[in-house]
Amino acid sequence: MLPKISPILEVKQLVVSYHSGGRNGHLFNDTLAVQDISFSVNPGESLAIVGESGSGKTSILMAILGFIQPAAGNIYFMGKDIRQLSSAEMIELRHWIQPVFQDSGASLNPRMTIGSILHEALRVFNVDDDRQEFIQKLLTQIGLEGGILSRYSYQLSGGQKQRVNLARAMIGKPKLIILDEPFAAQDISNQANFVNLLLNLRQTFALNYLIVSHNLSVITPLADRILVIRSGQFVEEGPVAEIIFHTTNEYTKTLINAVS
Amino acid sequence: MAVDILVVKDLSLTLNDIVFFKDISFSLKLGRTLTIIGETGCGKSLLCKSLVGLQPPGFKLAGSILFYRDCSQAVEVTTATARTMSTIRGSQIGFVFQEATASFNPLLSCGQQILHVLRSQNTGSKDTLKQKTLALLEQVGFADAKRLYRCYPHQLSGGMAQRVSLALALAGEPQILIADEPSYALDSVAKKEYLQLIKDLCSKNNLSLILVTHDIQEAFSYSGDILVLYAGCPAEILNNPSEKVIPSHPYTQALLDIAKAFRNFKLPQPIPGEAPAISAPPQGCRFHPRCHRAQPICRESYPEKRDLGSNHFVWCFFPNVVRQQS
Amino acid sequence: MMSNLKNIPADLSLKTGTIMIVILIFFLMAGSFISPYRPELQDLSQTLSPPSRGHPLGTDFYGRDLLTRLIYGGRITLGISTLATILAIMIGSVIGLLCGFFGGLFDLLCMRFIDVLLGFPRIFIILLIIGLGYSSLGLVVLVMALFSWMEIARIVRANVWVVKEQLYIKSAQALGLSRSRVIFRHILPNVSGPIIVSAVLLISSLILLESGLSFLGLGAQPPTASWGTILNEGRTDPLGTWWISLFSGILIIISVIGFNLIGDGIQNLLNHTHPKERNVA
Repeated sequence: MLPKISPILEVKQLVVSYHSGGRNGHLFNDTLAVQDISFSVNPGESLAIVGESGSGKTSILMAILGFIQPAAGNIYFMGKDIRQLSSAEMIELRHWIQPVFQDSGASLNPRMTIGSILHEALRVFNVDDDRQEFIQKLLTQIGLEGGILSRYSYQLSGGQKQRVNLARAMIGKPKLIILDEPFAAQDISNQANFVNLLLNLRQTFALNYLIVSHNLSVITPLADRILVIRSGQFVEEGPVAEIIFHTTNEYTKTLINAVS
Repeated sequence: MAVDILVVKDLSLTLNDIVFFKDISFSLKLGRTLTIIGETGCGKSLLCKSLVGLQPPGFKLAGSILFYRDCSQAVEVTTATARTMSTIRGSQIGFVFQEATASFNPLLSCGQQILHVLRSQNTGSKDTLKQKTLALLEQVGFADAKRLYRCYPHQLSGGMAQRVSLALALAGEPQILIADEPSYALDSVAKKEYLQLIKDLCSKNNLSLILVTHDIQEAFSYSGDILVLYAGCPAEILNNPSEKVIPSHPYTQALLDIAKAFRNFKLPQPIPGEAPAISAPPQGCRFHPRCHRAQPICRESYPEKRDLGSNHFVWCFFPNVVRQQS
Repeated sequence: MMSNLKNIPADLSLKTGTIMIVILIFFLMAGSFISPYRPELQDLSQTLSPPSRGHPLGTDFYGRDLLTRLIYGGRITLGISTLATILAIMIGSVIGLLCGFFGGLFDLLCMRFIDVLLGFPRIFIILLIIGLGYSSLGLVVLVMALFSWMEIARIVRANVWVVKEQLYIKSAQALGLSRSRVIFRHILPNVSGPIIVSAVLLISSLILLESGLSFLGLGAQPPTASWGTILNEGRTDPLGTWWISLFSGILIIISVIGFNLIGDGIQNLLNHTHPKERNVA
């Protein structure tokens, strides 16, 4: 039984580094993509991580999802240290934390129909409800028509692909949905649609989001707290209103000016 | 009186029964900017490519594109030979693509790519050309041009790659620069800087610019003409818009409202529905299924072009002719 | 899928190759209808006779009708090449999949093992086997498969390397799918293209290998014949008994070219249908 105010996700002093082939006699240079970042996501809350390209945002996500081994630091999901888990336990934990990657087309297996992709997710999560009905309900909520199930990913528009990814992420009723730059490839009218959709879904299904973005204005309606990072380093963190309207940090101000 | 450099009349692109864009007419003057706004899939990239004769093979391009080479000799692009077009592309009309890294040769360093372009346009000793290359790299904002000269495309960040792409486009000393969503892959800070750079370079070199974007805020920050495209059809043409000039087409207005909401960190009101598939456009006015002002006539007939004075045209049966600005 | 050469359709290779092989297979299957003879039927009055009305392709040393022998021989040749290919593909694909997916020490060891195997002089091994005296078609199939799986493994591994970094694989892993499910349900279908191409090209090279093996004496044993053994029979007097080597040679060439064209055609098809996933083969 988890204690009441335990965060869903807790990241402590995360350090992620990459080896790069060296020059000038240095065999391996370690580039620090993420240096000493800490944050947590509490139940009922959504956090946005904001920074420019190359600020390390994606590395943080990949470390949380277990695709990259951090050089240092701890990641606790639902109280469990993910670095201590066996691969079987990790697979079990993965059910609760679902990603929606930036490249929605590349996230869908080109040789599977949308229907089989979603059914596979259902099978993994052992969803009890009648499968067909569940999928139909989910698709309606997300704004996709049923005919999409027999199509392949290359037949869908960008917006539809993104929604399919979102649907797949939601099937297992995860505790946390991680969105990696969900608005980057969209024009503003699609951005407006998607923000509203995410907000509705959040309210209907009590979802928690961890959103990574470079665009402060689009994530503002969705996030409760914002973490600003620059070149892998912590800049500031706080409630949305404070960061957007009352920040004193120069770098955050640059980000704000870029979109207003 | 500014001179016309590119005059497009009734341009359309079709393949069998599918119309990718139609009814496109505008005239671009020397040193001025034309911004083309539209959603993804509205045909703006195809339009750009068609302007330089790079539409996909088999597609039928109808209408007229008159390019006034050196401001005097007119070339009809739609009927020009491949040889004529290859002399125009690169040297007189420069192109910046959406994804810069995809347009580079991965085996050549940045400097070599630019040198390649210069060599094909100019004669000159290797040293002069190298100096020109370095000058170009400095122009696009690289403080250490010599280091950039030696860098390979995979070593560049997104922003750097876009700037090199710009240098490549400018290498031929073109008269027109066509930039197809050049800041698409950049984050918001880099985007702002890059667009400012393009603006500055164009005004410095007296270049005409055709900028394609889906960001209406970006578009309104340029002075010049704006062409709003929806599902391949023109919705509105505005001239020198500012806060005072009020757009007439409901689509343009909706986009502006969304942009304004985002700018103020508020939740925007989405445009209901989705952009139509190009293979099955709605009858009549293509925007009518999503328009709050739609009437039966919008469903039945395609709106003709209306002249609202001072170079402001709109394709709508119920345009906003007068609106109070609060 | 538009071709750059204006008048040549993109799938000409595929069509030509398929037609060639289909006709060939039809020819081989319809043996008893085309020829009234049986392949072992000897007619000592007609030994080594050139093509004539009774024997359209001539006869061999024992007066056996060459056309018939080529028909039945073709079944052997294509049969063992196909079987060996299937075996090589199965071994090579599994090894390639596992190496490509897991990487690390396992991959390192496998690849060095493959390098060692590739370094072995094949002639030496073949002669060794012949020297052991025991010879059967099954052995030929096994030997051919064992010589060929390494190439397949390398190709599959290279493709798996690319595919496993794709986002849809990461998404499948993020869903919490087991590793075997990810490998066989997600990765394998996406490398099947190059596997099919390699398989088809392998059949054609095994047809040639088979002739070489027969030349050395490790092949179908008399009275069974394959194209390779028949080709071998014409060796003693190539000009005098020209029909023996010529016709068997022509059939070998046709089948090799046919399969190669099919392989090329599929390769083209793959590259044009999914241009974003360039296949490495």
